[in-house]
Amino acid sequence: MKINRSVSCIFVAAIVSVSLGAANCSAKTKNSASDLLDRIIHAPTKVSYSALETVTVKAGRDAHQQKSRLTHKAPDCTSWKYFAPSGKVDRAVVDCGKSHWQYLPAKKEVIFSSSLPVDSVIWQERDLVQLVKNYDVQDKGNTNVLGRGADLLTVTPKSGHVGPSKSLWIDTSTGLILKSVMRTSDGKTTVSSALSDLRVAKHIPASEFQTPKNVRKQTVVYDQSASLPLNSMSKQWNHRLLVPTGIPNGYSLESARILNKEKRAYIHLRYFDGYNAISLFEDVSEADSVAKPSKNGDKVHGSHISWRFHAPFRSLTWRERGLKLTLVSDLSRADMIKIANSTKPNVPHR
Amino acid sequence: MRNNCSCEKYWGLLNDYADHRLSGRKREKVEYHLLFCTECKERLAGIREVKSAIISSPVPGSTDDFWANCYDKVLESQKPKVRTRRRLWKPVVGLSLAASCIGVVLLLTGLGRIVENSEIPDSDYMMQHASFASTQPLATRTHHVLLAEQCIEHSSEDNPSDPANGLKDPDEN
Amino acid sequence: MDSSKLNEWKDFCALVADNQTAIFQFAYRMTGNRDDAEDLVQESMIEAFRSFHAFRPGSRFNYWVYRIMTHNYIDRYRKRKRIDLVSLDEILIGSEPMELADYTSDPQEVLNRNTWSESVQNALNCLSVEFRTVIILCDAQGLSYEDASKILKCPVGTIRSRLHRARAQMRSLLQSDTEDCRR
Repeated sequence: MKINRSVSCIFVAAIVSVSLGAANCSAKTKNSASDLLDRIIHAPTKVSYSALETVTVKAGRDAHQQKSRLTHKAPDCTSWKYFAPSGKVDRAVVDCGKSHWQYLPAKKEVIFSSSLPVDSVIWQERDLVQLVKNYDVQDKGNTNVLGRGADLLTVTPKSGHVGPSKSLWIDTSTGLILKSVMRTSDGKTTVSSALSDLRVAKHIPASEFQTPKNVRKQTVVYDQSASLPLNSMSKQWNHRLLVPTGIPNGYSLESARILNKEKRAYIHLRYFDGYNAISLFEDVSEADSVAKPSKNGDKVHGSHISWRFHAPFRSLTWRERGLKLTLVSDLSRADMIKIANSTKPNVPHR
Repeated sequence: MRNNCSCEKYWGLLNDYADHRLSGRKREKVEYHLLFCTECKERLAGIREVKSAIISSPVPGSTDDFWANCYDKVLESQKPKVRTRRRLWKPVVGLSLAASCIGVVLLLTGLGRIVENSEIPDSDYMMQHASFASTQPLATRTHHVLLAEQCIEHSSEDNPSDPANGLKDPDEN
Repeated sequence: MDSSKLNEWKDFCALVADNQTAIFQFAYRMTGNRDDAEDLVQESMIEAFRSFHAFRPGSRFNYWVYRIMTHNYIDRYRKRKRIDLVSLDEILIGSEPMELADYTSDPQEVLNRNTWSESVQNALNCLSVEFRTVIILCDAQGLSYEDASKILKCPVGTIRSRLHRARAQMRSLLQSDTEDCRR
């Protein structure tokens, strides 16, 4: 049964607030940081707006910038629209909480995808506990950003923890994230975003989010399987299940799913630290080796590996024991190779 | 300013004039008309602007590896296939029997999942990973924006070194 | 490979090397993105070598390749329409692209627009296959109407008419790209 995202967010926020109150957090900084987190959760359910967003990704010396105009409608249908930099629509992405679609005007195509797994939408209380355990979350006080009053919230990994760091400037009046700068766990990629021309709207007509006419439509289905305990997964999967034993401290197995794409099953193991995620995908494969091995000859368990970079994440692929394995994260290559080398067959507990 | 009605017969000729396909009397007529007609002059300027825009718009070059791989693929396509087919019938029969048995076993064990030859593309994995990231309260829609652009367009695993969003991996040695 | 095939291969590679840039540019302008352009070039090179014995030495190799690429592209485009996509609405060939609301009234945003080359490619992508092929062959690749008509196997008059209409559409698309859209 799907849970309305806005209700779940409010529910979670209530639990969070009560838990924090009960825990009697004395430090003013901690309280205000929690308040800010609370406001970030609530804002999308309260505020409808339109804004121009500039996203800049810097990876080493390269940079990529994307400007887009987005429209967001609260509280029932959370929606975005992205325009090309010129102001003429190049692509529109709409997420109504239940479905997600992309409109590509140049190709006159609309691509629908089914919604995200329900339990990935809810931010659990345990996530906050995990976040605070692994990260320093601090309210750095008021400041002015892009002509508006904002509270600066910083999230930095604690000593010994590998994770991204982020600064968020939260609009005092609406709770929207006006500006953010995130540095990946490997420290080499920065993603920054800034809102400008922000217009809070009382009403945005539903017609803004309707599928255009005279377009071709296709559907991409993302499976919504429930998370399984590893023992059950091993039985259902009916292939070898490899599990990494060398995940960095602070990350724990958040979910394990068998997903399906067009009658093809594959595994998604997701490790989470309250903020950042590491994913391992396993897929049955007949091939012996990766298509384009890494040039510097890196190997995992004696097999060649290949890398892909989709800023800010990178993926590491290798094949062994009849499986194709892909690790996705923002960690450094060295860390990812360590994790990959630590994978071992899962032995179900009896 | 000339009347539009008399201009219409020149509109078709303006493209030919811009392409230097007119000669002799026709060309003279068009040139004479252009001396007095602002609208047709603007039309001609528009045609030339489009032509020049197309000619001058730069197109990205192919990557270094591309042509080398292309030649390889052409050579591969020339390899004879007939011989392989002739000798395959025995192993094909054997494999078919084995596959049928496995299929029956799978069905009997209640799994019945059919594994297709084509693998799950990397783009799906990235999308699964990113879709979770974008739902976290601390996430802005940046991940979703950046990755949705590439992932849904099914990037090819044949070119893993080709950066999907034009950015090279800064951690690459 | 036997020696005659090897000589053929050497001649083929030499001709491809001389025309690499033009071939790739044509593919990119047709498809609008690098991945599809590379696929198109690769498929077409395989076919080109297969039928290389039919190529007349001394004639224009790139024109010969354009013909193969154009037919491959059109075939693939037709296949994509049939197989990959569920068509719920009639596809209107040559119609104007859809436009969605643009809230901006900020002149600054008008200035923050795509580079000119991106606008040109975007506009090309919006044309129908027939118009795009003609305008790329004639304006981008510099072919005459007669050469284009041989490649596309249609009369010169049809090439002329399509080219004129394609240019008019391009002009309108490029103009709307630079104007501040208001509702």
